[in-house]
Amino acid sequence: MAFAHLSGIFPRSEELIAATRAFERGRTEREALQQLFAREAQRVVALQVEHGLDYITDGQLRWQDLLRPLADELPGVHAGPVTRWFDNNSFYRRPVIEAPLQPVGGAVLRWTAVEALGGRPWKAILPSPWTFAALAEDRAYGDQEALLRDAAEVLRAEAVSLVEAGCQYIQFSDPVLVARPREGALPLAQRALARVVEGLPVRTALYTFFGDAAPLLPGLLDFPVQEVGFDLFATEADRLEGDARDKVVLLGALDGRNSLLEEPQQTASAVRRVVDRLRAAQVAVVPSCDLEFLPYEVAAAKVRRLGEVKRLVG
Amino acid sequence: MQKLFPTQEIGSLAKPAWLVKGARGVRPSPEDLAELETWAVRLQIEGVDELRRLLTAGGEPSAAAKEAIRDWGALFAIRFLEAAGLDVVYDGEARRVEMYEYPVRRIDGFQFYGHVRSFDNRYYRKAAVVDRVQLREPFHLDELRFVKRHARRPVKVPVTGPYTLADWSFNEYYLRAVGDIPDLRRRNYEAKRLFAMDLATRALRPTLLALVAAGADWIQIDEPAAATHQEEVPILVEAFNAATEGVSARISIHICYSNYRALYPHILELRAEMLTLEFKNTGDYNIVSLFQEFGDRRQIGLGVIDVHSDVIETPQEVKEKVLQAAAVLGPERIWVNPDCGLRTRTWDVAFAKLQNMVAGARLAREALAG
Repeated sequence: MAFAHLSGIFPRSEELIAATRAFERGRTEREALQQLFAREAQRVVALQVEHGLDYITDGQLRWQDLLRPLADELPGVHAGPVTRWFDNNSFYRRPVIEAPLQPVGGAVLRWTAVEALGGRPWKAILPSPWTFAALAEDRAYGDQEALLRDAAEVLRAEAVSLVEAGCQYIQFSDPVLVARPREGALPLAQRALARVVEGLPVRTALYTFFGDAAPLLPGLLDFPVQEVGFDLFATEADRLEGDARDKVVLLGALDGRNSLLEEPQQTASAVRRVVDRLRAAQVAVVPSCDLEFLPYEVAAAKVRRLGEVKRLVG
Repeated sequence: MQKLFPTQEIGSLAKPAWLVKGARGVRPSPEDLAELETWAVRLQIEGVDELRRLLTAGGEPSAAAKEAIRDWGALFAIRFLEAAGLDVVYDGEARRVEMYEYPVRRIDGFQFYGHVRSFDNRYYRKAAVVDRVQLREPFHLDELRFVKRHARRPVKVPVTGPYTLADWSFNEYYLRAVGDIPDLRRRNYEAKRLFAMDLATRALRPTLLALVAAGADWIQIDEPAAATHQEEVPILVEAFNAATEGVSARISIHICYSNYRALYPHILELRAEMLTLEFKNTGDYNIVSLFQEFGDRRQIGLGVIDVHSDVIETPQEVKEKVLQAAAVLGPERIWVNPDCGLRTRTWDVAFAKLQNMVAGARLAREALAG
C-alpha cells in the first residue's frame, strides 16, 4: 500500500505574498493578515484532502524557513544573517545561539494553524537536531556534542507539545546529513534523534534531501523512526543498498525544485524500482523537498500529481 | 606596460529614486530631486535642467521621454564611477531590472509563472523554460553604445552567463527533451547541460558577438551560480567556452559568494583571462592560494570591498589586502574591485567605498615602487 503527503513548507499564494508585503509597508492591518493566513491554511489543507493525501500539514505558511520558529521563539536565540539555503537561489536566517538552549515546548505549535487541520491526520515537520545544530551559529557552547544534546532536548519538547495538541505524525527534516556529509556524523545524528523520539506515541520519520543518501545506506535505515526517506533527484538510486522491510520509505519522487509536472506513470515506475531494490514493506510518495521553491499554482498541480502517483503505485 | 593594481567595478549600482520613479512615469519627490541636484554638482554633470523638466513635466511621459530619463541615469552612473577614480567603468546597469529577468525577457522559450521566495517575505519572479531557447535579438547593444559614447575611461560590459540563467530557471523543455532516463538525478543533470549549452550557443554567443561588433573590447560574464552545485562545474565550463567561442574581446568571469575550491580543477579549462572573485566578504584571503595550488596563471580581480556592509574600508586596509595577495601571486596579475555590484549600498556609501578602494590600490602601488 502506498501513502502520500507533503514533506515541507508549501508556497504562499500570490494574494498572501502581496498581503505580507503590504503588511511590512504598513498598508495592511495585522488582523487582516492573520485572517488571510488562516484562510490560506484551510485552502492548503483542502487541497491535500481533495487529492487523497494520507497525512495533512497546515502548509507551514507562516514559516519563512525551516528553522525560523525556533530562531524566533527560543530564549537566547535570534534569527541572524541571511545565509544561502544549500544549493538554492534562496536564503534562510541563520539562528544565532547566544545562550545555552532551553527546551520550552510550544514554539512550533504557535506557528501552526491547528484549527485549519480540522481534526484530520496531522503531520508536523521539524528540523532534525543534527540539522538545527549544524545550521545554527554557536556562540554559547564551543562544543558540538553539547549543542547537539541540548538541541535534541529542545526538539523533544517541541515534539511532545505537538503530540499533546493532537499531531499524529512528525517528520524530522535532515538536509545536512546528506548535503554536507562528514565522517562520523551518522551515529551522532542517530543518537540525538533517538533522544527526541524516545517514547513518542506517534509515527516519526527522518527525511533527507538536497544530497545523495546512497552513501549513508544502510545505516540510515537503522535510525529509530518508523519511516526514512530520501530525495530521488539528489540520490543515485541505483546505488541504494539496504533492507527496508521494517520501514516505510519516503521517496521524494516529485521534484520540489522544478515546475515540470511529472508524468505519473514514469514517476510511479521510478518509485517501484526503489521499493523493489530496498525490499521496502511500504512506501510514501512525497515531494523531493519543500514545495516553496515553486509558485503556488505549480505547487498545487504537484499535489494533484502526488495523488495520482500514489494511486498508481498502489 | 599597464600600471599595477588597476581598479574596476563589478556591476550594478543602486538606482536613484528619481530614475526609478521617472522611468515608471511617477513624479519624483522634492527629496529625490534634491538628491539629483547634489550628485549633479558633485559629478559635474551639466544640462540637468532638461532632466528636471522631463521628471516634472506631469502626465504620462512618452516612451522617448522615459528612454531619455534612463540615458540620464546611465550618464550619472558613468560619471559616478569615473569620479570615484576607477580605471574601467560601465553604467552601473542603470537600465536593467536585474541580472536574471532582463536577459530572460529577451529570449524566447521562457514563461514566468509567479513568485518564489528569496528569503523572509521577499520574492522574485522565476521563469520556466518551456520551449527551445531562441534569442529574439542581441541585447545590451544600445546600452553599450551609449556608454562608449560618454565614458572617458575604458569600458567593460557585464553579461549574465548561460549557466546562471539555466540554474535560476525551472527546466521543463529540456527535461522532456532528454527523454526517459530512469535515474532522476542523472536526468536532471543531462537536461541542465542541454539547457545551458543552448543558452550559450543560441542566446549568449550571438549577443557577445554583436557586442563586439558594437565596440565591446572587454566583456565580463557574471556567473554567481557557478559553484552552487559542485558536480555541475563541468557544465559551467563547457557552456562558458561555447558562449565565448570566437568572441574577440577580453573575457573575464565574475563569481561571488561561492566555495571557490569546488570550482577546481575544472575551471582551469574555462577560457577567461581573468577571474573576479569575492574575498572581503569571506574574510579569507587564503583563497588566493588556490590559484597557486592549482597553478592558475590567469589574472585575478581581487574583491576588497564588502558590498553588504556600510562600514567603509580604509585605504590602508585595501592596501594590505592587495599586498597580501601580491605576495602570493605576484603583483602583475592583480586587479582590484569590490566583491560584487554595490547596488545594495547608497550612493554616498558606495562612492566612499570606491574612493578608498582606488586610494588603497594606489598606496599598494607606491609601496611596491618603494
